[in-house]
Amino acid sequence: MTAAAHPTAQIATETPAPQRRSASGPVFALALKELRVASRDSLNSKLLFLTSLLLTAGMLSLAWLLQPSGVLMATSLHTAFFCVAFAWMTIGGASLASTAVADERAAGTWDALVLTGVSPRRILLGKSAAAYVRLVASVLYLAPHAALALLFEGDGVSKREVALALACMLALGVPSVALGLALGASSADPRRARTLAVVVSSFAVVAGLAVVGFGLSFPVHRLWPAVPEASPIWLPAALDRVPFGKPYVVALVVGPVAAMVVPALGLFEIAVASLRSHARRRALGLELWTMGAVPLTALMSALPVSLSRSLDAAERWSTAGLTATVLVICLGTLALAGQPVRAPGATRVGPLSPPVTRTALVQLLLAGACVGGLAFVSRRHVMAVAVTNAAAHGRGVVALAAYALVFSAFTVSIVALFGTLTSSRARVRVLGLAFVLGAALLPVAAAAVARHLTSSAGVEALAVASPLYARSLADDAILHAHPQRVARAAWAAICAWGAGALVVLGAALLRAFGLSREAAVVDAERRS
Amino acid sequence: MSPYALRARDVCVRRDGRVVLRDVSFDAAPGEVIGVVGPNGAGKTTLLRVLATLEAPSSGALEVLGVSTWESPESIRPRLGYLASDVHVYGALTVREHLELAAGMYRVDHADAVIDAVLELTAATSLADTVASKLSDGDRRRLALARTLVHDPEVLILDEPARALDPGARVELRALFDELRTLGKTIIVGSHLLDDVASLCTSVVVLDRGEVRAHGAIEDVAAALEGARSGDGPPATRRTRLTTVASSEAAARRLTRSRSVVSVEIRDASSLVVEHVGGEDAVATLVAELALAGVPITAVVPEATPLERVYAASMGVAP
Repeated sequence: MTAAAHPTAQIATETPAPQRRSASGPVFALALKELRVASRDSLNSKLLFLTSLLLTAGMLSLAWLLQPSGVLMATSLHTAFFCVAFAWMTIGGASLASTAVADERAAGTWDALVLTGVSPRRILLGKSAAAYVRLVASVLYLAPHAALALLFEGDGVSKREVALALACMLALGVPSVALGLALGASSADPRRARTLAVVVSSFAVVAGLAVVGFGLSFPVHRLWPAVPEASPIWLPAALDRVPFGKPYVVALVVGPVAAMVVPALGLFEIAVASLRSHARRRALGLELWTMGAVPLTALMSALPVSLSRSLDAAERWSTAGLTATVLVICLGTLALAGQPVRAPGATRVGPLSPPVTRTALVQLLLAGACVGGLAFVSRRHVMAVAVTNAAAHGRGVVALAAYALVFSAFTVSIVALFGTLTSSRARVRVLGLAFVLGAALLPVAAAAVARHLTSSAGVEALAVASPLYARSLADDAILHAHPQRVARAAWAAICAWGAGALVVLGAALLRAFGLSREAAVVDAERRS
Repeated sequence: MSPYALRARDVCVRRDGRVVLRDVSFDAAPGEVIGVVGPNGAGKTTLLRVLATLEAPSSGALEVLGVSTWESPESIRPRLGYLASDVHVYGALTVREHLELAAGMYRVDHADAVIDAVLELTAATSLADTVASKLSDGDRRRLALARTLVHDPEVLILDEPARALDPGARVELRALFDELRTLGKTIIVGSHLLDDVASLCTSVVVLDRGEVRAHGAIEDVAAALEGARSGDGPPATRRTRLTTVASSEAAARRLTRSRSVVSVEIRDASSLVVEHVGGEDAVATLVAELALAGVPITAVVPEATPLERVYAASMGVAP
């Protein structure tokens, strides 16, 4: 080491200060580093080669098995490849991204990254960009297998459909990488982070293929018969075969893009919040996401309601929309669970100063505005398309919306109360999730025990969360023999949830204020 | 603009109910070089990590370059350079790639020129294309130091900077620190090696079991602590090693007659260690007395540096 004038100081004096910043930036530098490290790990290429061999063997075996059966060969090979690619993108993306932070922590290099002053958001952007590039490279490596289906062209699969399916797979990489980041951001153990990501993303694969793939293909087929039913890979076929128009843009472009981007952004913000544990506004991005995602879901839900031509379709879309809105509110609540009772370094103490209660109140206002707005649009449209008994149908929508609102309010309040009882974020999330699942399933269980499930409304209640149970009660009130009794039961449930929400929210506010004041007194004593 | 590069007030760190740092308060002026010393487990590394904004204090206030670490740690970090006691690198990347990453993360312009210059400054040019997994411990430390300097930080926080360096590299490190000091950098050095700190620092923070025992300019703290001790009990003594061309026994006989001398220990035929009351004036008087008695002294070496005296006094042990 030679004692010369510091080089950066020398260069600094030669260059005007505003021009001293590099154009490439930290996101690019970090992504480049990740790709360099990954490219020198020979295990990655071996794993990819092995997967490719297995895939080739699997697809050839499938073709050999199907040949004598007379089924459409191209469709079968196309479906088989893209089911595997779907699983590969989901599990592989989550797995690659899950260790992005844990690897740094385990190797002790994380501190050096944090010390650069680059925000966690930018660090994660660099890491997710690298994970995404690796994922895309792996899919392109496996892509020639997709062309196998084209050998049987004219057998149900076109080149454009294959290209669209590949494009869909690439888009799917975005939420899967975000899922991996969210699961692994707070971990310091790469193996544990990867295991968790593989387990969760495997469930996501099964649920995705079953519900979004297989399940949704039926209503899509009813809407557009050219799209095959019972096919988990229906979106590329729909994009290829459905005539272009407003429904095409809303249902096949905006809807799927929103369904991938909105959760991806939420998961990304969860990862950012996990890395900002010491910051005063650690979950600011997550709060902003909630404030954007809930109105967006309500807005997207209002579109099909207002486009519906029949009463049945309008009611079903309004039910689905309210359920989706409540679901996003609950997800946002769980993601934001564990806000601190006292902000680090805070000096002011007031009823609204604890972040835990401030967040809860913001979410309640948001839920009120979004559920209320969606209910208003739904009720007006349902009453407009109803030929008879329009007022009763309108009351049904209002009852469902009221139920959705009080259920959301109770969830937000009880998660806030859990947050004041324990400082462990994970514990609050587990308790909150247990509550939501319990509240959703227990009424159904109770209905089953009371033998109400023999009715069609009871069977509907099995499928989704409690807001639909209220919906089935509202339907009963209109259609069945004892409307007054069932309507009274529905409103009694709504009032009970509402009263419970008020009590729990009050308890959370009082406890947070008390804890915050105690902490402030202790700090003041220390300072004095 | 704050007159302090760094200002800590009542900083406490608690982990799992255990107090790691208790009410730590001190200031560092711009350009000051402060040593943080203390026995193992005193909380040095924790304090340095808190100063580097890597750990949040449980309570208390900390300002770095006039900005509260509570308010905006991310805005402070690019102005800091932190060298951890344990060096961690990416085994698959070369030394130059590490520095390119750092330059990119800090958005350093003219990155290639800066990297070349930093490599030269830290004598790591020959290592530029070596993969980090093949570097020795000392070379990894050079790499870490180079990475710390790439973005020209205003405050350097160095935990055990000389660890794993060979004697030659230590000398070069001292020269580098002198240069950084002349450039006006504020440097905080944590070490349990008092030699390292004494040769680099102008001020000291002595930590023991998470508490600051002493803080200030080394000579001031030494005088204050010794003054405090002399007021309470027996006068504080120092040990000085003397070398003579005459017999050490003759010197010892003459010294035992002096009132300021407490004890004399003969080391060999030409050197001895004398424990005495008083500072440099007392030593000068003793040397003059010996010269008059025909025992010329050729070398006078304090057995303990001022920092060692501070450390000993604050820890309540003999220097």
